[in-house]
Amino acid sequence: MTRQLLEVSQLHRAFGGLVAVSELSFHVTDGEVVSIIGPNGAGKTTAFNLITGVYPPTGGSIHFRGSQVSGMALHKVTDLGIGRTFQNLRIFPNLTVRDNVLVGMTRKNKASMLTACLRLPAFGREEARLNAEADRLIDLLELRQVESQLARNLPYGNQRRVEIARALASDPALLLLDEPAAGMNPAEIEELNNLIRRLRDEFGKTILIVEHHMSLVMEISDRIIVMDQGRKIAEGTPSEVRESPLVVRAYLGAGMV
Amino acid sequence: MDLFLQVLVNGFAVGGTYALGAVGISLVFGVLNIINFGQGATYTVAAYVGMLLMMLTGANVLVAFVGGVAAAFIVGYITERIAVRPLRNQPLQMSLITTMGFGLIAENLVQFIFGPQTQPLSADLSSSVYSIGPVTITNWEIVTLAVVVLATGTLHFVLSRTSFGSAVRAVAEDRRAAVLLGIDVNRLIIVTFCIAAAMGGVAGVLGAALYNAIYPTMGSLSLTKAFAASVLGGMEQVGGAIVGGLILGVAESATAVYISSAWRDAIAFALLVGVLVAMPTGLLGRRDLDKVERTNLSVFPLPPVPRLDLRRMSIWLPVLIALLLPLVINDNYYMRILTIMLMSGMIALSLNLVAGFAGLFSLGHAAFYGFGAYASAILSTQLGLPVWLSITGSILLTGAFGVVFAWPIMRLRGHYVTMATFGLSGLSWMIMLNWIDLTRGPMGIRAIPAPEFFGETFGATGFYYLILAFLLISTGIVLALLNSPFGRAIRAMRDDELGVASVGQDTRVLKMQVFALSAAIAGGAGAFWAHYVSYISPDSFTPIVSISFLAMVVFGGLGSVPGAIFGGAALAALPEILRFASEYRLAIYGLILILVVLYRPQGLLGMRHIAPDARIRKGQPASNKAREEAA
Ligand SMILES: Nc1ncnc2c1ncn2[C@@H]1O[C@H](COP(=O)(O)OP(=O)(O)O)[C@@H](O)[C@H]1O
Ligand SMILES: [Mg+2]
Repeated sequence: MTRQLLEVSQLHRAFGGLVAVSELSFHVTDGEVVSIIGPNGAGKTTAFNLITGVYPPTGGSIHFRGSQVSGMALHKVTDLGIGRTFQNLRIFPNLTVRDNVLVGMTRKNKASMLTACLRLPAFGREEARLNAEADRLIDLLELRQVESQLARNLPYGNQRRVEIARALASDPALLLLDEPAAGMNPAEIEELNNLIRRLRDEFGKTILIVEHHMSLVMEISDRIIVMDQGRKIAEGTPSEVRESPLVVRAYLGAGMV
Repeated sequence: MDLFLQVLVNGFAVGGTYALGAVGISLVFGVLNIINFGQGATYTVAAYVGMLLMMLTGANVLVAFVGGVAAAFIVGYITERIAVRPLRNQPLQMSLITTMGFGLIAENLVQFIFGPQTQPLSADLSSSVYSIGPVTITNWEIVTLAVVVLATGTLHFVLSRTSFGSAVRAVAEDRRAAVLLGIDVNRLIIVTFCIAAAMGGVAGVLGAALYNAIYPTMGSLSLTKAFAASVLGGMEQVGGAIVGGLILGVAESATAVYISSAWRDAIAFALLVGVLVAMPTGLLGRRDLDKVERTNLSVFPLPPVPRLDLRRMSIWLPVLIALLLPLVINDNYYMRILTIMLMSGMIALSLNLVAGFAGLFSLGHAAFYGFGAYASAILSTQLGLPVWLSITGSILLTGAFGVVFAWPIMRLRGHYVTMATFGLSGLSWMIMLNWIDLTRGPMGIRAIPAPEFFGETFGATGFYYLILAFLLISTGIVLALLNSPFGRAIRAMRDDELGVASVGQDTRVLKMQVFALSAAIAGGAGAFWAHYVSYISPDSFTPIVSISFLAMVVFGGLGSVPGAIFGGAALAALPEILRFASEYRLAIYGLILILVVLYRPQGLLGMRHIAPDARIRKGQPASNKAREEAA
């Protein structure tokens, strides 16, 4: 059996009396694109927050590359190679697009504060290296035209892309995207579709994505996990999931199509 | 045992007045999520109005009491209308600054009218002492306890049994939902504010009667106690505030009896810090700290950070002017003002790093400034180190102190940072006052040597160039760091801490670094001051001084480097230039705080922002929060 990149087992989280995630087990293999779908309040975002250590689980375990990460702080999880975006955008509105991306690389900076104070050559070299890397991400996400604008002034779709660029800047092996298509127009969704494929195929990223746009999900996913009321109710390839009566019921029950 | 009973009785009486003040703080925090730094004004005004009534009209105590409380009620009304209501759409810290301004004005005016001295509430206030078993109790302690029970009981009834009470609870729970329920939120807020102020007034008159003593700064002192009690009880819990007040009262009277009365006033500061560090939700707090999330400052764009480009004229012109000034001015008085201006600019620069860029509204900078001054003074006078060495040592030590100082507040956010740093500032001040062996206490340290340069002792001009060098070096360091990964990270942290953590950066480390740097700069200014004036005492490093530093930064512009330096220099010069006004210095600072926040919240050199709800109306992209709530 190959070791999974991400292995979640029996994950549980309650907020007071409310159980947001329960008995959730799934895995993600290197190089896959896996989607989590489910009605609002199903616990998808909570699952992301547990994996990335925004808050600790009340039960179960999470292994990333074979090592236990549950209960670890967010910044440590990122250091291990998990990057993420947030459902409610958490870009830095008062920084330029470029600075947003550069902040994503804070941990890669090797120049000390002293070299920065004295403006030693090492500092200049390091800044140039970081900026060159930021350039590549800015091009990849097609943000070149807005790179010196404050993120707050961008349209919503662009802000989403800034957040993805920032997450990529920390070089994650596993990228978690929480509803990246929310607020995007059809053309932008099409671009997102291409981007996700490229990230997997060209850059070797593994991607776990929460999304409501069914056509996008069906097109890009290798596997789909369906959640309802905190639990996993189905899992399979896009065509298997489409057929599953449980899924249809959960979605129709929640008034969604 | 008998002594302990006595401690309990005295503690409960004093603690009762603290409880009332704390209830006021908690009520306002509950409905508005703001901390009313102006609450101290209600005590002072109530006590002095009571005193005036008794002195001028010979009114009896009851009339004085009612008059005082009514005056406090009016103070509450004015504070809410002027300093709080216009700021509904601003980040919550803004009303913290305006209420602070209100407090300063009130205290300063009282001091100007009645003088700084302590005076009796009434010369012929009858007082009698009763013995119950082994315990003695004064009539005023009995009255206090009775009034406290009556006032809190009435309040409890109002909050739990009346429709007004349920409306208050609804607004505290969720203001938006309360509006939908048809509650007139504005009216409810002002009524709550006035009730809170009246509670403060009751506490003021009772406190005055208890000791038969009133003085202008009684409000600030009681405010500190009310904060501590309220935090201890869990901030928004009215019941908790009462318990917190009583505990604080007993702890104080126990300290006075068993340890030393000098440390009595340190208890509140220590509790404030200790509780916020150890269990930020307090004894009876149920809720998480998440309500504080709304203190996010990201609606303010920061002005662009000036590039550190030494070829630009805009950097060299002010430097050149500063270098040449002593050639034009040879009056020592003006040299002194210029020197103080540069030093204040340096302190404001350091505070701006924390408050403007990292978004942590610190009220702790008087502690750093004082630490630097005392460290250098002690190193040079008691250890006999050469002046240059002690200045350098004191800068490094203050940086380390900054780390120690930042450690307790690392988990905190928004108002809690402000409260905790306020407590730390107070605690440092208390240590300067009471650690006599080291600091010589209130007497201060004298004969601090001036530095020498090639065998020549510094004169007025030498000191001017020294502080100019300090300011230039620290500005250079600040600009260099702001234009570096560290600077980007702290600016990002101000916008979104979770976002910073999500790229692998530990925000606690960032906070420690920024506090260390900021403290070192403020410590350098302090060390300079010690050797410049050759005499220091704790009076120059009180928490009020911390507030005036914050005033400088707000005036110049949060997050603007030239703004902060300008703000520091200007506010330092103002009272000196307006000679007649130096008496009103604090009131002027207070007025500036209010006017700036109301009419130019970005400060003189800061960047304009658009209130979040205005943006929604104009159809521009709304803030994250608004979008989230709309979803
Ligand atoms: N921090 C929190 N505190 C309390 N309840 C929460 C918190 N986060 C999520 N929940 C609750 O957990 C449930 C799952 O939420 P979430 O994971 O956001 O769902 P989804 O992302 O699938 O729409 C919801 O009922 C939500 O109200
Ligand atoms: Mg979600």
